[in-house]
Amino acid sequence: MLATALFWTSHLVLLSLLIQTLEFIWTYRSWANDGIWKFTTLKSELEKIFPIGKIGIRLLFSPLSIQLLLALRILVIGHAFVRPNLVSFLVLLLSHLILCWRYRGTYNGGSDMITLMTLIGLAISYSFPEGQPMRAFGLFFIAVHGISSYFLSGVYKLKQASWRDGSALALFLKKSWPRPVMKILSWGALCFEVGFPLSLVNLNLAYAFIAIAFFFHASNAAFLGLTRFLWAWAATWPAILFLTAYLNGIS
Amino acid sequence: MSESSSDWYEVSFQQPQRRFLVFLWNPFGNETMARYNLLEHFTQDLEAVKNYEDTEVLTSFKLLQNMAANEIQKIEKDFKKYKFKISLNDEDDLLISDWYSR
Repeated sequence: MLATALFWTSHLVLLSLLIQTLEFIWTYRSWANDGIWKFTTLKSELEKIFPIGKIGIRLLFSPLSIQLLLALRILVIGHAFVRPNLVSFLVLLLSHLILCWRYRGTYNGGSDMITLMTLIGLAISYSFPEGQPMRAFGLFFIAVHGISSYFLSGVYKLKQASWRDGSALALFLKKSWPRPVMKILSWGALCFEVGFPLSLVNLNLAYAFIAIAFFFHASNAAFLGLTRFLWAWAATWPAILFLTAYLNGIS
Repeated sequence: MSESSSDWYEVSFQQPQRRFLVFLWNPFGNETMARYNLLEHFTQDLEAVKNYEDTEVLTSFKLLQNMAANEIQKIEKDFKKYKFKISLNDEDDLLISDWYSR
C-alpha cells in the first residue's frame, strides 16, 4: 500500500509539473525581457529579498537562467518518471520555489502552494531508504495538507454571505442561472469542502470524497480554466487514501 | 491609453476559448489568471500606501505598467507614451496613472 501510494503521488505530481513546465515555455513572452514579469522590473526586489549579490540574482532569475531551469526540469521529470528519487524531488522543489519567487507567488496561487507541499512531502518520503515504513511520513504530510486545504477553503467561504447565498458562485461562473440553483450548487461545494476531513473515517468515504473532488476540479477546469488545480490536487489523493487506510488499520 | 488616442483600451481577463484539452493544457488561461492575481495583489498593496509617489515604487505597480504597455502594443505598435487606469467597475476608478514613456 505504501509503495503504491508513493508511486501514484510521485507520478501525478510529475505529470502536473511537466504540464506546468511546458506551459511556462509556451508563455515565454510573459517572463522574457519585454514581458510583464521582466527581470529588470523584478531584480531590485529580488536583490533585497535574497542577499546573494547581483550576479547570484542574475544566475537564478534572468530569462536565460529560467530557460535553462525549465530545460533541466524536463530532464529531471523524465528521470523521476522512470526512477523517483530524493535528488530529483529536491531539484524540482528548488526549481518550483524559484519560479514562485520569479512570479512573486502570484502565478496560480493555491495550486503552486499545494504542489510545494507535495514536493516537500515526497522529499521527506524519499529521504528514507526503499522499503522503510518511515517513508509513510511524507505521505502523511501531503495528506494532512490536502485535507486541510479543502477544509480551510470551505470554512473561509462559509464565513462569506456571498457564498452562502450563491451570488459569489454566480460571479465566478459568469452564469445567470436561477438563484435557487446557484444556492444549491454553492452549498454543495461548501458541504464538500468543509466535510472533507470525514474522508478519514473509512476508505469508502475517502473514495466518495475523492470522486466528488475530481468532479469539483474538473468543473473548475471546464468553467473557470483552473487546469493546474486539477492535477496539483490529484497528486494529494493517493496520500489521502493511504492515510485513511493507515488510520483504519488496512495495510 | 496612448498619446495618439483619446480612448481607453480595455484589458480583458476573460479565459481564452476552451476545448476538451483544457484539462491538460491551458497556458494562456493560466497566464490570464496570473495577470488577474497580479491586479489583486496590487489592490492589496495599495491599501498600505498614501500617495501616488509611494504607489509608483511598488513592484506590483511596475508590473501593471508593463502589462499596460504590452496591451497597448498589441493595438498600436509604435506608441511613444501611455497611461493607464484601474477601475473596480465601469464607474469607480481606483487609480489613474501619469503619462509614461515606453
